[in-house]
Formats: sequence, structure tokens, C-alpha cells
Amino acid sequence: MKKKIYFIIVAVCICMMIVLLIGKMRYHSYQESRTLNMVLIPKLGEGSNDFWTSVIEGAKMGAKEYDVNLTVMAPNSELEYEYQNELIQNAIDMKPDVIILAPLHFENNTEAAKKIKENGIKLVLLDSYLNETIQDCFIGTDNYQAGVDMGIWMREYVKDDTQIAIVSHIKESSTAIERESGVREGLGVDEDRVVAVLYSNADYDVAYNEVRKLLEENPDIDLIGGLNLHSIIGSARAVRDMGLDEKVTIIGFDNVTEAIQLMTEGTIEGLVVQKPFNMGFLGIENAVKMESGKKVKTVVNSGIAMIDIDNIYTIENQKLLFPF
Amino acid sequence: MRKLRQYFSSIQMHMVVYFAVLVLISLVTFLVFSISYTQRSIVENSTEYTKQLIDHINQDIDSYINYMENISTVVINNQDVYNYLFVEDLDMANELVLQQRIKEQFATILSSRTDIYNIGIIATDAERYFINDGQEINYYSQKEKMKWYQETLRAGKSLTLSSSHVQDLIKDNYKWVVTLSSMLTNPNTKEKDGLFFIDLNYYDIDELCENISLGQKGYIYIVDSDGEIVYHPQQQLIISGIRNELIDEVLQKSEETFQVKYLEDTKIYTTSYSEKTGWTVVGVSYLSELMKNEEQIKITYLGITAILILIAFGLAFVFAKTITNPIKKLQMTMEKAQEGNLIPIEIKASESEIVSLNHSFNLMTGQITQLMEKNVEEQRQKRKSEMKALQAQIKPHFLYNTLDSIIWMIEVGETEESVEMTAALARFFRQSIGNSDEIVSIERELEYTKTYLEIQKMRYKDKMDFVIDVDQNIMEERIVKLVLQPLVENALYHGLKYKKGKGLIRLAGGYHEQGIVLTVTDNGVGMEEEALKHIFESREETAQNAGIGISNIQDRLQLYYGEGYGLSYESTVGEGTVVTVSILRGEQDIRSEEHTKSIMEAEEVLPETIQAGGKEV
Repeated sequence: MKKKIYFIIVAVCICMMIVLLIGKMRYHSYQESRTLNMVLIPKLGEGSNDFWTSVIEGAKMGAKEYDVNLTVMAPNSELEYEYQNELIQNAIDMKPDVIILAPLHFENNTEAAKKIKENGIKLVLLDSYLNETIQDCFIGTDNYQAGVDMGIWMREYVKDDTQIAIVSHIKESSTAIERESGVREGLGVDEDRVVAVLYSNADYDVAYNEVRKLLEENPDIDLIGGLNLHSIIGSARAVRDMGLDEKVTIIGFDNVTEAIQLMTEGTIEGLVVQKPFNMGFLGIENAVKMESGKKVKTVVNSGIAMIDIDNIYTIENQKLLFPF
Repeated sequence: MRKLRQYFSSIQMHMVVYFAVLVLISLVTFLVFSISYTQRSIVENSTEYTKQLIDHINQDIDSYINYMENISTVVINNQDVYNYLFVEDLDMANELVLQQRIKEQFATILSSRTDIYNIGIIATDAERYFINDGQEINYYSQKEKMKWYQETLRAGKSLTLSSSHVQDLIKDNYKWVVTLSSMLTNPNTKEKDGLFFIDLNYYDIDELCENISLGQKGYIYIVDSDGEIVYHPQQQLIISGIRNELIDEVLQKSEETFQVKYLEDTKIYTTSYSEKTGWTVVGVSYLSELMKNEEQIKITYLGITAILILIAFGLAFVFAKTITNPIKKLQMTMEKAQEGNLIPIEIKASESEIVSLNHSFNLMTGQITQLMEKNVEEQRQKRKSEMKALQAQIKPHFLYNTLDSIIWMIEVGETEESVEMTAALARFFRQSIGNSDEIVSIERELEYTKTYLEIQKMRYKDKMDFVIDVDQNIMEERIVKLVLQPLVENALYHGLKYKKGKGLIRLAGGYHEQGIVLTVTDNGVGMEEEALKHIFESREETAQNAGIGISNIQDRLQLYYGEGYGLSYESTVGEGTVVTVSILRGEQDIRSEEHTKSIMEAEEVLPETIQAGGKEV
């Protein structure tokens, strides 16, 4: 009996050693195998504009923190959705763990994106949706909620005889639809005051001309909501050039240095600013979480900030408004 | 299976196990200590290294600021600046001259250092200003809302260092900078009507921090004395609340190193505080990254430990074998000794215990051998003395009675018969006492018994008769002495004595299957079954039957021939008794050696007996 116990002790000790050894080795290999490969396909590349440069910066920061091997492949213009489809195919050929895609086109990128899933690669959508829900996770601004916030903000400037114009960007684009319905919701009872909806087609000059034409036709309009960068900058330029700074209030989406200048000059009253750096970072973070088997929200809101003349240079907003 | 268990219960296996456990415990202890020591020293080295790096960054920043301070002093003390900004009725020509001189000074400064973005002087009313090479001011500047300007206003004439911020003083130029600024006093009004500022390119600091590698994930950040972040790679995430960073802890524990748990990892914070800027540079490294190499070290340690354990096991096996081998040999010898083979051994062993055990064992076997020899000798002596006792027991009564009979015969005149009886008596005594041999021939034993019977017959003429009917072939066979005579005497006194009429004693003998059988038959009164049962119990002490005990005879026979031989009684009341003596045949050959020996020994004893006997007779 006694001898048996000794023998068992030795056996247990040896077993422990072996387990320890294997455990350590496994832990070691586990760490090495966790380097994930991901491909980010934004709408535009680094240096193209502040928004997408920030997205890519954020993604790179996330990649560094989570030890992700990140490849960035970007189209040169927002119109090159066909080229983006090629990039998607290239990305699939690289056999990464996750592809993070900001689709340029609501419909025409869908087929290519489906192939991502068909190849067993996880798909994270950034900023914009596709017309079919095939993604594992979406990360971007909650455009509807942002629209609601903006609508509520606009109501602060509503006077008795206020008429409102909404300058949207592309009629069929998901962000335009969501933002507009959000704004209308936020305006509440004052929604009736919306007398015109214009479309800039993501072009400063189109927006400028449309707004100028509208203001000339309808001088009673004193509140303009711009739903994207082109819309708000075009509108502001038109208002400034027509000398209507004092009369017309402009509140709109997105940020660029010119918008800040126009704000300090008094043309633009308020900006709803997205958080592209966070968007990029959260894209990577959620992809990593997904890969490590953790539960991830299907829609992750990257958040917004509301900028007016008084809070441009707060510590919080400087980094957001002047990322570089 | 059982053999296996026996194997594992052997001393050798025990020693192997003890040894292995000992080695295992000490090795594992060593392993744990060395790994933790390695871990600690890795952390210490890395924090030391980080400390050096961030101290270096602080020095670099200090030198930037120092340089900017020097420039500031030069500009602030330049009378041209005050004249340009504050002299009210300055004519065009003079203004241009002053402007030119300031421009030259600024140009020198800007060209000497690329890390300086902007340098400028501004009258508070912004009527006169000069920035860099004459850039236009941003009339929509929100400087009043910015912390750096508020602090400069508060500080007045002394130089103020800002945290990192966007500079919006220049038109169409929004740069991230760190500003060193001070108010300029209008010599006429003594009011602080002017602003001097010099901007250090923030990206120089950014680059400085970014280029320092603290592993793949490690990073550096800078906090100013108000707890505002001057630089952090994840500043946007921190502002948005996606990430948190330690600010207050870092300010409280400046110049210290501490560890903080973060998710599944541990972050090591190393801080360095600069008196000059009031900034704290913090280096953050991840324990897991430091330990990456340590994993390899651990595996190496574990491998070495495993090999050492194997070696230890092998050695334990060999060592144990050298120790247990002599014990095994001893054990085997002991097993042989158990079987009666008492041979001394010589075990080659250096261990004193084994040597002494061997010595003791040899001593013991020697003593046992001696004791056994002594025992054999004692047995022989005992038999011999019993024999003597028997010889001495030839009853005096028999002698007296016989002598009385002889006297009576002489008195009656039966001279011839008395002579015969006397001769028989003399013969009887010569036969019984005259020989101290333990073993005698059957012939001799019979002769002697016959003499005894003859004497008794002479005495009890009408009472008894005897017949001797023994196979002549067995006459040369040998028998233990004094067996037949006592049996005959018993037959006479217990069998025939109480019989009415004449009794007969019959002595018969011959070869039998198992050896030789001799019988003494009487037709006396016989014995009760009860008496028959107790016949072999010693009766020597009972006075009535002071004959030679049956048990004595039986003992001697069995002692000599072994169990299975000896006496057996058959008796029927009223009809008589038969005593059968069974002995081995061919004894004269088997025991010849012992026989001669006993003869030789007997010869030493004999003369005394004869002499004694002779005197008596």
C-alpha cells in the first residue's frame, strides 16, 4: 500500500511536469498564432481627405494595439466602385481573417462583397451599408440618430417665420436617406417648415449653385441643414458670397478646415462631426473580438460631436477637428 | 503481476523513488525560483531601459524649450519690437525699417531651427503685428477661448509654456504646436498690450515619442502639470472615452515605476518628470511583450529540468543497485541458511552497515553450526548416560534373589545346579555391564537375554519356560542395546507372575518388509485396554513398577531409528501380550562410521566401568 503511494507520487510529479511543459508550449504557440491578418478597403486612401486619413490612422492604431497584420487597399476616387470590386477580389486572394470594407456603392459592391463571405472570410462594414445585410458587423456613425440630434439642434434657431432648406448629397445613398429622416424626426413639429430638399451630388459647386438659386428664388429661407461636407461647404460659400451671413443659419454634417473657418467667420453655426479615427480603430477592435470568439454588437456606433463657435478649441475637439 | 509488485516494493525501487522525489522537489524549486528571478530581472532591466529612454526624451524637450526661451529672451529684449508695436505715430519709413529688422531677426531664427513653426509679435488690438516672414493674421482667431492664451494673460510678463494645441493665429494655417509665449508691456502705457509667441512644431515631439520603441505595443505619452495630455498616440480614443489613460496616478507618482493590470496583460508605467517644462513623460510597456523571450527561457529551463530528472532517475537506479546488491546477496545466503546450508559469505561492500551485517551473519552461522554440533554431541551423551543408567538399573533385587537362590541350592545340596546358576549370573553381569557399546549385534543381545531367562527359569522352575526362535540370518544385524531383556523382564513380572500355572515366553525374530522385527510373546494375564493406552507413558518414578520404563526403550529406539520404528503392543486380557520391536536392517553398514567412533569413545569410558564392575563382582 505504502509503495503504491510513493509510486503514485512520482507518477503524479512526472505527469505535472509534462502537463506544465505542454501547457507552456501551447501557450507559446497560441501567442504566435494570434497574429491576425486583415485587409482594410476604405473609400479613399491616406492623404486623400481628412476623414479617410483619420479612419486609416485609427485602423493602424488598432492594428498596433491588437498585433494585427493590416493591409490597406484604397480606390483613388469615390466613383471607382468597380475598381473597389477588384480590390475586394485581391483581398479575398490574400486569404485574410477579416476584410473591413467601406463600400462606395450601395448596390454595385454587393456581389463582390458576397464573395468575401463565400470564401469564409469575416466581413466588417465601415461607414456605409450595402443593399443586402451580409456583414458580420457594421461600424460607423449612426446617421439616423445623428440626424435626429442635428434636427433638434436646428430647432433652436427656428423663429416664427423660419423656412428650412435641406441640402442633401446623393438621393439614393443610405447616409443621405437616414440623415434626412433623422433631421425630420428631430425637427418634430417644425418639420413642416422644410420647404426645399436639394441634392449636391457630392460636389461643392453643385451645392453652391443650387443653394444660390434657391435663396434667390426663396429669400425667406433662413435655416439650412447640410447633410454632408459638400452640401454644407457649398451652402456656406453661397450664403457668404450673397452676404446673408447674418440672416441665414447653417448647420450641417462633417468637418474640414474650411468649415471651421466659415464657422469662426460666422457663416456656419453648427457642425455635426463624425469620429473617423474611432471608426477605424473600432473596426479593427471589433474584428479582433469577433475572431477571438467574443460577442460583438452587429452595429457599433462610432459617435459624433456637436461643434459650435464656443467649443472649437476645447481640448476634446481640437484633435477631432484638426487631426493633422 | 505479483513479481512486478515485488519489484516495486524492493529497497532499490524505494531508493529510486525517494531519490527521484528529492531531486524533483529540488529541481522544481530551482525552476520556480530561477524563472521568477529571470522574470524579475527582465522587468527590472526593461524599466531601467525605459527610464533611460524617457529621461532622454525629457532632456530633448528641455533643450527645445531652453532654446526657445533663449530666442524669446532675445526677441523680448529687442527694442525694435516695442517700437514697432507700440509707438503710435510711427511714420511709414521707420515702420518699414523696423519691420525689416524684425523680419531679418525672425528669418535668422526660423532658418536656424526647422522645429520652430511660428514666431510672432502681436499688438492686442491687432493693428500691428509681425508673424514669421510677414504672414497675415487670422482676424477670426478664437485665441481668447484657448487655454494657452488665457494662461499667458494670467502669467503676464513671464514666459508660459502651453500644452499641445492648434494654433489659429495665422490665416489659413492651422498647425499643431506647443507655444511658448509672454505678454509684452507697452512702455508708454505700462499695460500688457502685446503678445509674443513662438511655436514649436508638435510633430517633433510626436516623432520623438513615436520613434522610441517600447516593444510592439508599448508607447510613450506626455502629461503637463495640469494633467492635460500633451502627447498620446491614442489621444482621440481617450477623448472619446474608448480608452482610458492614467493621468492623476502618473502626476502623483512621478519618477516612479508601477504596474497596472490591463485586460489579460500588465502594463508597466515608468515616469520621468521635468522641472523645466513641468511635463511628465510616461513610458508604457507590456509585460507580455517583455516575457516573450522569457517563454523560450522557460521552455529551456523546463527541458533542462526534464533531462536532469531523467539522469537523476538513471543514477538513482545505479546507486540504489550498488547499495542493495550486497543486501540481496546476504538475503540469498540467508535463504540458503533457512534450508540448513550454513556457509559463511564474503560480501564486497564499502558500506560499514553491510560489512557489519555480513560479519554478524557469519558470526551467527558459526554459532549456529557450533550449537548444532554441540546439540548432536549432547544427544549422544544423553543416550550414553541413559544406557549407563539402565545398566545401573539391573535390579539389585534380581541379584539378591538370585544369590539367595544359589545359597538355598547349596544348602539343599544341589551343588551342580548352584554352580550352573552362579556361572549364569556371572555371565549375565559380564554381558550386561562389560560392554558399554550403544549398539550390539542381535546375537549378543539375544545371548544376554537368554542368560537372564535361564537364571529366571532356574529360580521359577515350575512357573515358566521360554523359547527362542530367531532367524539365524539376522544374528549379525545390529540393535540398540538393552531392548529385549527389559521387555522379557516386563513380560515375566507383569504377565506371567500373576498367572496360575506355567507361563511361556517366546522370543521370535526375522526379516520383515520394512526391516527386522523381533517379538516377545507371553501367555500371561494380558492387559486391559486402558493400561495398553498408557503403556508408553513414563513409569520410572512409580515405585511399584520400578522396571525399565517402556517409554525409555521406545524413546531410545525412535531416537536411533526414527519415527515409525520402535515398539508396538498387542494384548488380550487372559490370553497374553505380544511386543513387537521393529528396527532398520543393514545398520551395521550405514552407521559403521559412527559406530567405530562410538566404539572409540566407549573405549575411553569402558575401563572405569569394568574396573568398577570388577570390584563389585
